[in-house]
Amino acid sequence: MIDVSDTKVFGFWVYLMTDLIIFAVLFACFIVLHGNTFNGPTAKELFHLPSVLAETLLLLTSSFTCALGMLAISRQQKNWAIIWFIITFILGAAFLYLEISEFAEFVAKGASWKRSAFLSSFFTLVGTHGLHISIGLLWMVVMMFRIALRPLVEHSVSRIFRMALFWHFLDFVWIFIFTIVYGIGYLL
Amino acid sequence: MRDFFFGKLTWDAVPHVWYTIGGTVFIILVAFAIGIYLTLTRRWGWLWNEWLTSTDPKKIGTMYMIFASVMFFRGMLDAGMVWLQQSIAADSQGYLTADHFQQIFTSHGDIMVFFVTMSFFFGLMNWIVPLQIGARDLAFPFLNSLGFWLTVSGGLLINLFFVIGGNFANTGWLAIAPFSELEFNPSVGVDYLIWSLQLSGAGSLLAGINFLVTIIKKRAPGMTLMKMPLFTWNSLCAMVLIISAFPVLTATTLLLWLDRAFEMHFFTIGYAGNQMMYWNLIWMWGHPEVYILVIPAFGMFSEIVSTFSQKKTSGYVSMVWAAITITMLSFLVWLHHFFVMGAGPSVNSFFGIVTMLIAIPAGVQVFNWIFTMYKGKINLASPMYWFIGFLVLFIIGGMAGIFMASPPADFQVHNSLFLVAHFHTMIVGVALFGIFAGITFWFPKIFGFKLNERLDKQAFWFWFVGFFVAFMPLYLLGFMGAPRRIDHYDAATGWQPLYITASIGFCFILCGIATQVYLVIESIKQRKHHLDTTGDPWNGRTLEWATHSPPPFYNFAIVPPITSHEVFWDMKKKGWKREKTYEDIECFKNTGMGIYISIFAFLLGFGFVWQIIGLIILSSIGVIACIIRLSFDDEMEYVLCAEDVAKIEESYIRG
Amino acid sequence: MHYKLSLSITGFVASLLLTLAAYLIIVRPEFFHLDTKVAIITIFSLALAQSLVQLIFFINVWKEKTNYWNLGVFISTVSIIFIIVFFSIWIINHLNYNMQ
Repeated sequence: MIDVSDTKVFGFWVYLMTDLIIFAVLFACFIVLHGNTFNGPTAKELFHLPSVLAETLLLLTSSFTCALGMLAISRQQKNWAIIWFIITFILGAAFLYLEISEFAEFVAKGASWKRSAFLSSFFTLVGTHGLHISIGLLWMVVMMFRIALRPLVEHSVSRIFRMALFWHFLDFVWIFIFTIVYGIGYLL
Repeated sequence: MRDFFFGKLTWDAVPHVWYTIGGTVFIILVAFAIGIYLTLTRRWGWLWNEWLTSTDPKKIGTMYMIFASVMFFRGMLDAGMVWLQQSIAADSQGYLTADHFQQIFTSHGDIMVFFVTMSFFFGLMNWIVPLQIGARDLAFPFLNSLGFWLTVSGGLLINLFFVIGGNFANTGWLAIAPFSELEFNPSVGVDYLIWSLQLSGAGSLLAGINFLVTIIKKRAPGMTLMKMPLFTWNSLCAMVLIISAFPVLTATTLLLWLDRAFEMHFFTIGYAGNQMMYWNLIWMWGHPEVYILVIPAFGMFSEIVSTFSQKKTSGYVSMVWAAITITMLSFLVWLHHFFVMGAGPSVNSFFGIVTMLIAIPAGVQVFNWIFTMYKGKINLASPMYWFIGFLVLFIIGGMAGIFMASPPADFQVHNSLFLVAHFHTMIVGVALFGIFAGITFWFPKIFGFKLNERLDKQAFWFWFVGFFVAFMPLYLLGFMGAPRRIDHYDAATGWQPLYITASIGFCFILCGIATQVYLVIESIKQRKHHLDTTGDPWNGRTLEWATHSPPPFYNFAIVPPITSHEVFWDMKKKGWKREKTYEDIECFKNTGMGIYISIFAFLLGFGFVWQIIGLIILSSIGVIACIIRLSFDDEMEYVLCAEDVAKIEESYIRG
Repeated sequence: MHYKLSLSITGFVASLLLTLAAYLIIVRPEFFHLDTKVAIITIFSLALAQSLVQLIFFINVWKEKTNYWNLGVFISTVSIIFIIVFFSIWIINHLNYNMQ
């Protein structure tokens, strides 16, 4: 149903590549600066890994339910599509809630982005991902309206597909945040 | 509460020095003059419907060119002020304070790179790339309009400090950290730099994606990659660089702004920031950027040389590979901008060697151009003048570059006037001459009449001689130890005569610019004498010459079959005549959304600069609301049926 | 673009296992008798594996014949990312060492 060689999908794909490059710069900064704690809190002291695991599982599952939503779209099942996307939204919102709680907890402990270069790069990298998640959630709501109000013709399906692609890529980037920030950052 | 409405704005932001008052008055006068003209001639509607909301790449291209020309005057004003200051400031402070001088060369660099050269190139690409590949429009007509208006909003923001704020960044065009951090630069100048770059960077990125997808997906059937004209190939390579490099600029300037606005510590001196990382990241963007500026010029000259030598470009395949190689290598050399920062011999030699390697594909191109001319029927029209000037300057500037590619040699001339002379040779001699040549070459296609040849050649001589007189002294000064960016120096150094010579060269260049202004005015007045009635004034070789001059908004009524990278030459050899059977054409509507989104983006940028929370929230909502509104608009295309196409085509043939 | 339920489920389960494996190594490296360096390499490899799984099973980057432009752009982006990250680490390491 979706022609991935379609011009609009390809254009959006190229845009996603540029977004990945922005993340690459933020990752490079984090790696270079992760030891620059300025005698402040370190990763080991701050990170609460069980909630990081919870966030990871929430986002991974949301990527799965998003795929199920697209499956429903390809079968022209509007109601199932909306249900799966609502579930995806809830999982994504829960992820965001946990992340914001983590940020608030750090700030309360005095480990805000102002404390050291390490914390600046942590908040920026993870925060930028969180900002993308928020945009993805908003986009998801708009697409749910589209599914409800418009017929599932090719150009509608293409738009919903692009939103799903964006959402999958957010989990793709999170794999590396989980590994490099919370994993390697914690181990080193 | 105060923060919500006013942020950091105070009464100090009102203009109160001579240059901010002067700039404000000038901007207001020009705006009024335009407004009064439009009102008296009742052309507001025409302007809005025919031009501002247009999604036709030819119109957007023309708007880019006009915008770039306006910004060019601003950049040259800065240049003139620098030249004057440096000529008189031997053993004196000159007429500018140190801080003001620093603001001038900073804005000169940013304006010339972002708003002049890039805008000129996007303008020329908008005009010509769709025509060369047999397409009717770009892949994303709306994004084309949005990208243009975002660039304009960036241009507005970079000039806004005259009216509100009072000072621009004094940090150099790349806002080096930690000098650009709050500790040393608490005023909003650096923030204006950051956000105007973010806005225009977003516009450039959208245009880059657009052209990349257009060239890859919208070529006429039968036009394989190896049948694309060289200007299109070089544009493709430049677009690959844009999508790879501009995200780095976006991220890096964002980090600098986060340091300033949120007291983060990426590049600050305290709290374990790493200032060297800033230079690493910004040059990671900066080096591909300068190749973005020159690679399209190479493409333009390839077209010009083969057209005016009436010969196929020598070594088409090697030219394609040269362009691709330069593109790939340009992403591996950025450290040569900071050999002196102390990365050590292993790092420096790696980057030095790769930098020298770029000379090889550059040399391949130079030799191919010369081989193309060899035994060709050369017609020395004015584009060829610009080409020969370019060839001389490219070789000189290139050799200076190879000299600096060696770290030990670079240690001597880093940040001296030798470096300044080198990059101006490349930007003026390659990029700017390419733009001038391209404008003269393609002007009749876009506007239907040729530019005055004699005046264009006169302009060339002013520019060419002027450039030598203005910049050769700078090479010498660099070897003599003169650093860049100094606002005064001791007369005992003996530098002043050379600075004065450079200023004389600048006067020649000013004559060249004056000639070009006169050229445009005269050519418009005399246009009936230089009409291009055939669509092919230069005996061209590529597909753009197969349309009418100017082309109808849909470019081609029928797209001809593609045979080689010189389709039109092949068509002419076979005795081509315009077809009279027509088909329905899908077209894109005009839309004002690009302007509305850019206005909100401008307000958002302004809000970020002055940290006005209310404005930030409201304009973010504005941008998002526009985008959501746009996403529900499913009817942006309409069909022009074959009968209407026939009527338009007949009107061209009737004349 | 043909959607299959089996693809999505396979991708989900594989990613789940790879995530849990990485998590266990992060919290209990001693359990696997891994010193820090090896642990880092292992979890990074797990990340690469999971990213490939997600690319193939969720994003479907390899599937269609007509996809080769998407794949090509992706590969060139990965090269740029590698250059950005690897070279930044190399350069800054040298700079930090020389310019204490």
